[in-house]
Amino acid sequence: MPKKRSYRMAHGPCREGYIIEGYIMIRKKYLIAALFAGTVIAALSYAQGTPTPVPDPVPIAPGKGVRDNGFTQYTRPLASQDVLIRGKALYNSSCRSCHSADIRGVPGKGNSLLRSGVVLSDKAGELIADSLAKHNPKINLVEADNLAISEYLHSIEATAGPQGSPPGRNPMGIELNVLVGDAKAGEAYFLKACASCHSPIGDMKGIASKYADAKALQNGWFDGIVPGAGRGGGGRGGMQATVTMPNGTTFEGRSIRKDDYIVILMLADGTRKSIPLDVTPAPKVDMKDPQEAHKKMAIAIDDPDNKNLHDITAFLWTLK
Amino acid sequence: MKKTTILFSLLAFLGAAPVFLHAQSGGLDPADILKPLSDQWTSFSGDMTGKRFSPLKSINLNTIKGLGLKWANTSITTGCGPDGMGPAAAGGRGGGRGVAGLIVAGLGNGESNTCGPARFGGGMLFVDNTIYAATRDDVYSIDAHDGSVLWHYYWKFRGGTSTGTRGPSMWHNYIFFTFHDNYVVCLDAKTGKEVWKKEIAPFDQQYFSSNVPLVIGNHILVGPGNDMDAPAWLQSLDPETGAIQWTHYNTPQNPGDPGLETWKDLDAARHGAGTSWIPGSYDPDTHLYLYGTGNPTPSYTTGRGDGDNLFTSCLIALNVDTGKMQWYFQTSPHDTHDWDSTQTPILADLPFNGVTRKLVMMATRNGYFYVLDRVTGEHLITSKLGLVNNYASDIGTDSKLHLDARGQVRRNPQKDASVAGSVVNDDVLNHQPPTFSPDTGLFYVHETNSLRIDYLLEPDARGSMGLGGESSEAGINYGTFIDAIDYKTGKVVWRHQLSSGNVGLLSTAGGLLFTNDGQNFAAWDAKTGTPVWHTQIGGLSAPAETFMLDGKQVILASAGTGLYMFQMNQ
Repeated sequence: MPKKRSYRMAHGPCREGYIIEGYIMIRKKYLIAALFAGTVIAALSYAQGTPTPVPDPVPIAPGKGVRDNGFTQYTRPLASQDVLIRGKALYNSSCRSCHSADIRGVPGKGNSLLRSGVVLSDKAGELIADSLAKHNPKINLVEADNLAISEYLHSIEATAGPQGSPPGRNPMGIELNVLVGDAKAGEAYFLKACASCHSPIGDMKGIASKYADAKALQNGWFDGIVPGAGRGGGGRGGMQATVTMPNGTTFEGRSIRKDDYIVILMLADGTRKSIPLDVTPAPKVDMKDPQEAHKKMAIAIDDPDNKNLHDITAFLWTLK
Repeated sequence: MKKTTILFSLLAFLGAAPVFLHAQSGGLDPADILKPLSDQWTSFSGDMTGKRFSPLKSINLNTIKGLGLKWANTSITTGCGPDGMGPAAAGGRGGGRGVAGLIVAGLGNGESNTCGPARFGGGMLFVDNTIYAATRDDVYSIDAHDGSVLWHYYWKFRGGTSTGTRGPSMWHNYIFFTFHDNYVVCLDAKTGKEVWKKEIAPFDQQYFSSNVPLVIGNHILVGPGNDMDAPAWLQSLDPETGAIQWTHYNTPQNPGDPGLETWKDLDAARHGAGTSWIPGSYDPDTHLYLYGTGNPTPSYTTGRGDGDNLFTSCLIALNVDTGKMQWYFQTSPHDTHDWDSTQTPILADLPFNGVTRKLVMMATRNGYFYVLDRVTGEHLITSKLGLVNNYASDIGTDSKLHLDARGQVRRNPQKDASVAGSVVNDDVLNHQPPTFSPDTGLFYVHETNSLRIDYLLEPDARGSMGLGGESSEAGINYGTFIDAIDYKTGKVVWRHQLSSGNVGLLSTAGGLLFTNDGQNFAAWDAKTGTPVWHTQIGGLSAPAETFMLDGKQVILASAGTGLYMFQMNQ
């Protein structure tokens, strides 16, 4: 089951392949609106130097869930705007100081409600009301207020991401800076380790401008993938193979498939050549990996504190 | 006792008697599940040792060239839509040859089910000439003689998280299966009709479940998976009623629980997960069930304290009668890389330093191989797998291991996910089952080698939730291999490169090792790793199995293209 690599990061059996059912069926306009609102709040907070927890998720589509199917929180019909606005106001006045604006809790004061079993299992305020009735310190609310708070909490749960992620991929709006290395040290390392294949004034000239940001640059140079050019640069990609037949005839081309039993080449003239290997005498196959030098480099730069990685990225970021 | 009470009790007994007698007679005796693998395939691994080693040897190094197709069924389909027949516009449901009873169940509306070819996963059972196999939302009974579907139980999935299936289990005349939206069902093996069903974890709390309801005697062991930061547990059910016998949580849930000191606080421990989503192995002599637990949550990030986060990413020995833990060994203390230890432990009685010992062997996702005494948990060997494994030591195969006094791996914290990125090896292996051949003394397992960059996405001082990180998109791949490991030393004796493939392994007394290599279902000489046989049926969806059908050894393989049975050509 194909999936985006970023979701592959989750724990559990995800390495086999995750499909978050219905995730792609999110009503995009609602999600975009919610995320946009959150982003604006995050940006404002960060710009003002007040990295308070954000966002206050915005109610989105009364009467409908945010997804067509999947977990209850996503399919549960949302309450009307009036109820949600009221719930938010009540939450801010009665709950926010201990459970925070993003309902993920305040250390030493209140637990995270985003992963609370009570909130997740609540159907129509009944469990939340019961919890509030036992709350310490005491919170006295009428039934309608309990319901409004529960509906507001459910509206936030509805915007949570897959696999336990909170709403948004970076809800705190914290700048995730990968440029922590020493560019000069990176240049020195580059000239020592990479210059036999690459040049800052040749193939690497302007390399940083080919990527959306420094993180994409770091991923790209490390993985050996240049936007628009593919792995290995130049769009060549794939293993190159030379097959020597028992009679001395040779075939050279890009390896489409190679296992213990067959090698299939795409020859220079565009024709396909399939050569069985489970014969006696067997043809001799020499594989040449265009990434071989790059792979050695990736092993060579590995150090316990990732300094080489960060230094090289800092240097390459200067090549705009 | 009053007469009325006696009469009532008698009537109640008589009323229950048909079910009781029906359940207790015929079918698969649970005692047979505890026997070494032989002519049938009665559980996820074939037997409860986890070896996946068959004593059958009519298919062997000398005869393998004559192995050919007995039958193939490429038309078995999954159910979908409200009635299981799928939308008419999509051509409806094929169902495969000999489609018999279609039983429709489940709490969804069918819209979350996927129409298409049945791609069987996990363990497929072979009992009394019948195959019981499953996809995520479907359980099938299949005639082993020709691949015809005898019955098909279709479950309308409510949605939520979806992974692979690990297969069904059997107890007398009952078939058990776990559906992803947390229902364990008990089906009549003859008809596929539902006997009982039970929700084992709340769907509202975003649990999903994929593990085999494992049969051990009169226990059905079940447990959910999850990706929320939520409690995880193993539970024993009564096979006849589904009633809970005991529950064991994989992390501390109450003040005073052992291991609590390894968490930031009780709240963190309660939400620390450690799900067990792959069947373990069982030692009938000690009544110990040995199983692996998943990674702690949140997975990549902060919020759990600096301790080991017990009992996540552990090998656990649990008394199956009481549900009490006897010992543990943590294979990835304070895991920060999503490295579940939910791999199959293999049990064997073997010579070790001149003495025959009751051993358990396990290779884990972080790329380490362990040998322990399975009775006491005494550590005997830790060794490193992988060509570029750097998370707890310098890169390379011969680097010094960083182990604690118990032989547990100590990670390099600087290889944790970081905002600026950390170069670290990818999973060296995963849940796909290994095999052990007592004949060669070798433990076989898939090995994948690649480097990636791990990023921390959510440096929330309060701790993050769920994921909190990501990897570089592609990584650098250094190849996929079958490793053959000497259990006495932990050293890789031979390593054979595959074009691709990682589905799990089977070894036999015929000197053979089976798995897939890219598009091939293939066999190797188990001693040397020399390729000896292949057939191109596409990548396997489940590891191969072997058993006796009508007096002949056969081999069953499920590929994305269909279900295949092989036997020796006459």
